[in-house]
Formats: sequence, C-alpha cells, structure tokens
Amino acid sequence: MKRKKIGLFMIIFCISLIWLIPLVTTIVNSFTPVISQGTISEKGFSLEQYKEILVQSPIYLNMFWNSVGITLAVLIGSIIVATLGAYGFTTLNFKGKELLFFVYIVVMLLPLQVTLMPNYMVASKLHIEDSYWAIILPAIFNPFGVFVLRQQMKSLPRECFEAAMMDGAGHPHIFYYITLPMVKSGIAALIMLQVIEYWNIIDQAIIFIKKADQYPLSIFLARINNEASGVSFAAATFYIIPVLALLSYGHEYLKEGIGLMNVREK
Amino acid sequence: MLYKKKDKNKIKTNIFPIIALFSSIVGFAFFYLIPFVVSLVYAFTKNPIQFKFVGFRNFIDLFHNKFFILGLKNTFIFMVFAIPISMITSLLLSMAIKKLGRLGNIFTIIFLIPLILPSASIARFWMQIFDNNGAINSILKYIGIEGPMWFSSKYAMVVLVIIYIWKNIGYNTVLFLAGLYGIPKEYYNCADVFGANNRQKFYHVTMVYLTPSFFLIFIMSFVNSFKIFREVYFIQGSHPHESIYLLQHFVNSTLLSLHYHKLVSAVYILTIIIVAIVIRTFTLENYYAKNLMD
Amino acid sequence: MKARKEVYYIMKRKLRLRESYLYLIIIIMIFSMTACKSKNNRGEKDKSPVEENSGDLGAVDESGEKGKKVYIKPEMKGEISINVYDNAEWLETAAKLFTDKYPEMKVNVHVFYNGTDINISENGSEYSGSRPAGETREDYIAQLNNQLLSGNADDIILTSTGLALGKLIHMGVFEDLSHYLEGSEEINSDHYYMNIFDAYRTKKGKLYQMPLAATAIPLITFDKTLINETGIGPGEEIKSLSLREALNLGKDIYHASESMTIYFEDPRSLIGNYFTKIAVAGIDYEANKVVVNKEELLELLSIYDELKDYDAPPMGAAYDEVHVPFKIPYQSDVEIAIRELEGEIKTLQYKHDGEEVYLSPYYSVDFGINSKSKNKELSWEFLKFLASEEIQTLPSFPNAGINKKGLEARVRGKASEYNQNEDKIKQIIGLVDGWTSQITAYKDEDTDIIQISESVFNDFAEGNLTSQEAIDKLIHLLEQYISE
Repeated sequence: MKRKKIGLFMIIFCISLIWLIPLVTTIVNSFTPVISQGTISEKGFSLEQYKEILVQSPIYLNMFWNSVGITLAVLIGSIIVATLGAYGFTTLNFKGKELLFFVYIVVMLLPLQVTLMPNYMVASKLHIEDSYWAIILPAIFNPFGVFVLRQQMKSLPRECFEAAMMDGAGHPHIFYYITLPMVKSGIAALIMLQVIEYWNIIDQAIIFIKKADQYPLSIFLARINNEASGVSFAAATFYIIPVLALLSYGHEYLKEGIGLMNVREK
Repeated sequence: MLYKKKDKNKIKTNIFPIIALFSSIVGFAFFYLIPFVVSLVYAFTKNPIQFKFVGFRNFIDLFHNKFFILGLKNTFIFMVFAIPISMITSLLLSMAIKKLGRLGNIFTIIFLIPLILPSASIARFWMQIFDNNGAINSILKYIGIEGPMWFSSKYAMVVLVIIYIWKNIGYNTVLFLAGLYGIPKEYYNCADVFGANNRQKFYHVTMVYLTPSFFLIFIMSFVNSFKIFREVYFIQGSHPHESIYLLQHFVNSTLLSLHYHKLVSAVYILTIIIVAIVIRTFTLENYYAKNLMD
Repeated sequence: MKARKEVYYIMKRKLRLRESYLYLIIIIMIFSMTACKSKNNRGEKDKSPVEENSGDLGAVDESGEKGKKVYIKPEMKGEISINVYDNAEWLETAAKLFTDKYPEMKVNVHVFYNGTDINISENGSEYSGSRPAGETREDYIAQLNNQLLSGNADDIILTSTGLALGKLIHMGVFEDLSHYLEGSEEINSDHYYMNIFDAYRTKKGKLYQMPLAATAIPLITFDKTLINETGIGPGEEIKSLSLREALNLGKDIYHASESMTIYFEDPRSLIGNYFTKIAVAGIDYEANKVVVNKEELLELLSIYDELKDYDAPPMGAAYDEVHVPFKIPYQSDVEIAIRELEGEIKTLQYKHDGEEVYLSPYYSVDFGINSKSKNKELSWEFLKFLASEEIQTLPSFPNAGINKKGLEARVRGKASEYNQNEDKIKQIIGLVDGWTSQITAYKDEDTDIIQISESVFNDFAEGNLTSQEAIDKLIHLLEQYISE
C-alpha cells in the first residue's frame, strides 16, 4: 500500500514539474543580478533587487499593501455575504427560488468586460468611481461565493438541522454552530479562490484607480513583460510568495472539512 | 421544508435566513442585475453616444458580422474540448491527492501556481515552449520533424486548450477536493457495510455526492474559459490567428472602440446561449441528484 | 434521532468559533474601510450622472444637422476639465495663465500617464509616476471609454494620442466646431493658418478637432550633390511630387550617377507611409465597409520589390560619402530648411491624388470638445486661448504651427540652436511659412489602422507574405477592425 502511494506520488510529482518551472525560473531570476537588459546569461547571486524593492523604493511596498488592502476587504465582505446568502438559499423555500439562483449563475457566467461597464455606471452614480470602493463593493456581492457555498450546503444531511430545530435552536444558532463548521472546506476553497482572483485584479483597477499611489501590485506586474529585469522578477516573487503561503495555510482547512463521523469519534 | 407551521410563524422563525438572503440579493441586484438589465437599452440604440432607437438592427448586423460568428464558433470549439478534459483530469488529480493524504498536500498548491503568477509570466513561459524556435520545436527538430508554427496555424487551438488545462486544473482541483472532503465518511462506512468494492463506492458514493460539485465546477470552467483570453492576448495581441479568434477578442475590441451597442447585443445573444446551457445542466443536476439520492 | 441530537450537542461544544475572531474581523473590516476611503473628491465636483447628460444627447444631433448655431462668447465663469494622456508642461502653464486672465474660471488638467517610469528619488521617500511603464495606451482608452459611456468624461479631450479617432468621430463623441470657428472673428487669416483648419475638416465640412500644432512634413528631399553631378532632378518650378514621380526621378539619378556610394536609404518607410494612407482611405464608416484600392496597393508593393535592387548600402563606404537620391526625412521642418538653405538638399512637398499635401501625424497636437460636455462654450474659449499668440509663443509649446506668430517664435527658437544669424532666420521663416501655408490635407490619425497596416507591411517587407497575401491580410484585418 505504501509503495503504491509513493509510486503515485512520484508520477504526480513528475507531471507537476510543468507547473513548477515558471515559478522556479521567476524565483531564480529574481536573485540573478542584471548585467544588461535581455542578457541574464551571466550567473551570479545578488540581493540587490530585493533591497531595491523592499528598502530603496517605497512604491513596491506601497503597491503591495494596496493589493493586500483590496484583497482583504473583498475577502471579508464576500465571505460574510456568501455564507449568509448561501444559507438563505439552502434553508428558505419559496416560489422562484431556483429561478433566482439561476439568475445568479447566468450573471456570474458573463465575461468580465460586460459587467465592468455597468459597474462603472453604478460607481459614478454613487460617486465612488475614483476610490477602492468601486472595486470592493461589486466584488463583495459577486454571486460566485453564494454559488460555491450553496452547492456545498446542498449535500449536508438534513437530519442535523432537524435535530437542532427540535432542540429549539434558532436559525442564527444553526448557521453559526452547525452550518458554518460543516462547510468549512467550502469556505476554505472559496477563500483560496477569492484571494487568487482579487490578488490578480487588473481590469477593474485600470478603470477605477487613477492615482499612482493607489495601484495594486498586479497592475505593475502585468505591464512588465517586455522588460524582464531582475527587479521585476523580484517584485513578482515578492508578489507570489505571500499568496503561496496563504494558500498552503488555507489548504489545511480545505482538508479538515468536518464530517459527521469525525465528531462522533471524539 | 423542515417544519410545517402556519405562515406567520414561518416568517418569524425564518427571519434570519430571510435577512441573510436579502443582504446578498440587494447587493447582487444593485451591482450586477439591474445595471445589466438596464444596459439592454444600448442594444437597441445606434451607438452609445447617439441615443437613437434602431430596433433590432444591431442583432441583425451581428449575425452578418463575420468576426462575431467566427468568435462564437471558435469559442464553442474551444469549450467542447477544454472543459471536459480539464474536468476529468482535475477529478482524477483530486482523488489522487486525497488518496495520498499528507503527501498530497503540496500538490494542491503546486497546481495552483499558474493562477497566482502574473499573466505576463505565463505568456512568456508558454511562448518559450511553443515559439517557432521554442522548446517543442527544438525537440521535434532533434527527432527530425519540422515543427509547425504553433501560434499562427491551425494548431493554435491545441495550444490554447493545453494552456487552459494547465492553468485551471488547480482551480478545479480545489473545488473537487472541497466536494470530496465534504462527503461525510459515514457514507463510505455505510458502503463498506454493504460490502461495496472500490468501483462501486466511486459510482454510488463519490459520484453521487459530488454531483453539486460537478455542476459547480462545470460552471466555473465555463467562467474561466472566458479568462483564458488574457494569456492569448499577451501572446497574440488583438489580431490572433483566425483559428483562435475568440468571442473575447470581439468583446474586448468592441469595448475598446466604444462600440458598446455591438458589445451589449453580442452579450445578450451569448446570455441566451448560456441560459440554454445552464438550464440543460440544471435539469441534469436535479435529475442525478434525485435519482442517486434514493 | 437520538444519535443526531448527541452529535449536535458535541458539535456545539467542540466547534465553538472563538468570539474574539469575530471581533477581530469586524475591527479589520472597519479599519480597511476607513483606509480605503478615497481622499479624492472629484466625484463631488461634477454631479452630472448619466441621466442629466442623456437629456442633451438630442441636441448633439441637431447641432450637427442644422449647423445654424451661432456662437456667442459666454460669460467667463465656471469650470472646465481637460483629459490628456501624458504630462504636458505647457498645458499646465496655459491653464494657469488662463485662470489668471479669467479669475472666475477653473481649469482641471487630468493627466493619465505622468512620467515615463517609476522615478525613485534619492532619499527614497518620494516617487512620481502615475503608471508603471509598459503598455498603457489600452488602459488609457479603456478608462476614457468608460468615462465617455457613463457621460462624465472631461470637457476637452486630447485627440492626438492614439485614439481610434475615425470610429469616435463617426459615433459623435466630438462636437462639431465649425460654427464656433465661424463665430470667432479673432481667428482669421492674418494671424492664423486657416488652411490648416480647413485641412482638418471632414468631407462634409465639419471640424471635430482644434489643431494647435502642425508641421508640414512629409517633405521629399533630393540630394543636391547628386543633382549637380547627374543634372537630373526636379525642375525649379516644381513644388510637389507624387511618390511615383519621386521614385522614377530617384531611379534615373541612381543610374546616371557614377558615384559608388549611392543607394536608396529606406524605401520601406516611404512606401509604408503610402501603404498606410491607402489603408486609412479604404475605410468607409458610413457604409461599414472596407473599400481598399487593390490595384493601387499591388502597384505599390511591386514598386517596393523593384526597389530592393537599390537598397544595398555600399560596402565599406564612409558615412559622409554616402549619397541617397531622395528621401522623406523625419526631422523638424527647421532642420530641413537649414539644410536646404545650405544647399545640401532640394525640398519638395509630398503630393497625393494630384494635389493634396499631408500633415505628418508625428507633430500634431489637437483637441476635441466632448459632445456631452456642458461647458462647450467655455471649452472653446480655452482652446482659442491655446491657439493664441500668448500660448503659442511659450518656449515649452511643442511644434507651434496654427498661429503665425507662434510659428515664427518656434522657428526662431529652433534656429538659434543652430547659431543662425538674423538674415538666415528670416529666410528659414520664409521657407517654413511657405510650406505650412500649403498644407491642404490632414492625415487621418486612427492609431489602430496605422498599427494594422504597419504590421502587415512589415510582414511583407520581411518576406513572410507575398504582395497578394499582404493585401488579403490587410483587408481581413481592416474588416475585423470595422466589424468590432
């Protein structure tokens, strides 16, 4: 059994190299000093680039924190809205519920360019088109979260709710103490995917943010493909690592979704 | 529903979920639905600057628009290949990862890497591989085969599908894993009691309880298949080879040239197609969910 | 059922999420909200959302169709905004001078891209630069388009920075300025090059852009040394040449010359220029069709092939010995004038379709007024101010041209860099003035089309496409452009 596992591990590992290469090259290049543009052939090791982005020019750190701010605000808001919305969809039964959910899905499926323009119109009505709010508010109400969690809640055993109901527990109680822990893996998945989505935000940021000191790091990185200098690789590494760390942390929660048996055993 | 009481009581006990649902609906309607519906107005005007009513002119024009049709066709071909392949591979992958247990942890993260890399880096990586003098063609040359011009020939679609799968396998795997871990172990134990073998367990437990996940992942693959545009755009610009001119190219260019009337009409046509597809999968999901729950 | 109940209790006990987490989340959220609150109050300023604007949309059409509006100078009180792609010192100065002149006016210059890159100051605490380097034109257009669509774009928009101008004008984004021009008596042929205004007019006589700077190139220059040597060259009385004529003359000179160091410097740029012109002319926005003259293009590309025999630079020739029979120089008109006066070259104007002389897109600055703007009159006053002597003679103003005094000041400034004496300067002014007043046509500045035709032409020039394939590709891409 163990040998089989190791064999499987090796196979997947070999395949996963294709996924690893771009990351590895980015990290390696970030430590390679720039001799002249385009020729990074000379091997060497230097931390100059990191000194540049972390100490010398505050704009990178500033952009980094902008990214953190946007992602965090979206994340917190959207998780709250998504868990609540999904709970509503799961527990309530009313006419047109499926239709409403259907509308959620259809709107979610539309390409970004389509919703961007209506978003801009709403933002300009609210006079927030020059601020982060124009990005954050629509992101919080993105139907994606509701969709993911509702699908997750669908497969929860009904008996558990019934038991709680019989016990006289109210909905807030059930929501907080039963539903949330049980869809933990779904929430973890949602967090991971939302972080990825909004950490990489480009299109919305281009349209809404007009001031230099408000740009997220993603815009900068999306624009440097032609000048592959050491600094940009360092910035890219600096950009990737926190998310990777977060993802590996979130991954633990992804696994620990709480099944009924787990509880009973304890 | 869970309980049957009189309507008034129902509202009273359900006040929390009602508010919960409303919080989501209000935002959704305000930021997505209403603006989207309002934008329909543009589909019937001459252009967004001159607000003249032109009836269905824009829709008729679109069906005579060579490039809209081309984009629609290519996008369809792309999805037919990319979505099923990526779903199957990521299901297999997620099951393998689950089987590996602790050892498998690292892979989920590795397969998510493409999603956090800047698009420019991804484009650069794939250009190095599929360039005319790139890795693949070098290998082919070594064997003695003249490699094709991957990006500017009919093979471009193959490259596109490969990039899509490469990029999205991690995304789907996360969702599949969430689904897999969400299946209470009890059910597997139950199956063991009935003496089910692995295959039976897969078909009668895993597949059944993954049905909502399947639906979810199908929809997300659909969404993500629109996002592949970013990489194509980095590689090929707004004038790609004919075989990979996607609907997204059309949408993007119409937006850039301020032809919002064309964009909105195109999107409504697209929406109708999407609605048809979603209805189909919706009924399929419900059918399987009911059938297999019994 | 009992078991389930048990489960519920255990879960309740075990899985109590710590309350403190919740508080933490709330605190973080409030914090991030306050942090995100925009300091920018621009939104407050122009409370002109979509609906209000849609009201005067009809008016746009009327003013376009009737054309009877009479321009009356408004009361100089209010606020106007200008949208430019990158930082322009002269514009800031002009805005300041304008507000000095009319204290009740306010001028906001909105710069999309200031600074070429992120500039890091020495102490490391400050940086300028609005947008990181790289592809920014599309970002600019995306942002501008959204502003235009939602009706809160700026009053004045710089039109000489890579916009899809043909499409925008056809859609009615810009106000027709002809009646403003007619109502402004101070703009007359004594002080302005009226021919440039006329050159900017569309076929129907409408004027969508206010030209401010103009340089009369492409000019065709012939090498005087070669003319003297061979005795072949354009006659003294000839003022302009078409491409075909210039090429034939060039070939004659080439064959007659005994010099070993003669070659055609870069036929590519010459023909590429022409190729683009045909592509631009081939788009019919009204009919939504591409009507490119295929024969003309084929002929052009065959000329290119013919010229390949002439374009090898001589081996081992010293730089100053090399002679090029003729070329289209991409220099400032003052530099060309100096070389002309020194007897190095003979300069002629470029002719197309018999008589038109084109303005170069490289040296033009022009503005359009947003047709949805509420301050059109004030905007026009500002544009007029930009064209006035006061601004056009500013040292920082680029390529002044529309105002005669401005042109003179620019020529003087440039000529003084070359240590020219007063006499020479007068002659240079005379030459440049002559060229500028001959401008009769303006080259459509649709950046997308220029890019398309250049990419196709380069493919052809590198031998990737045959001439027929190149034409087919051009038509294909233009069709794509027009159907998107």
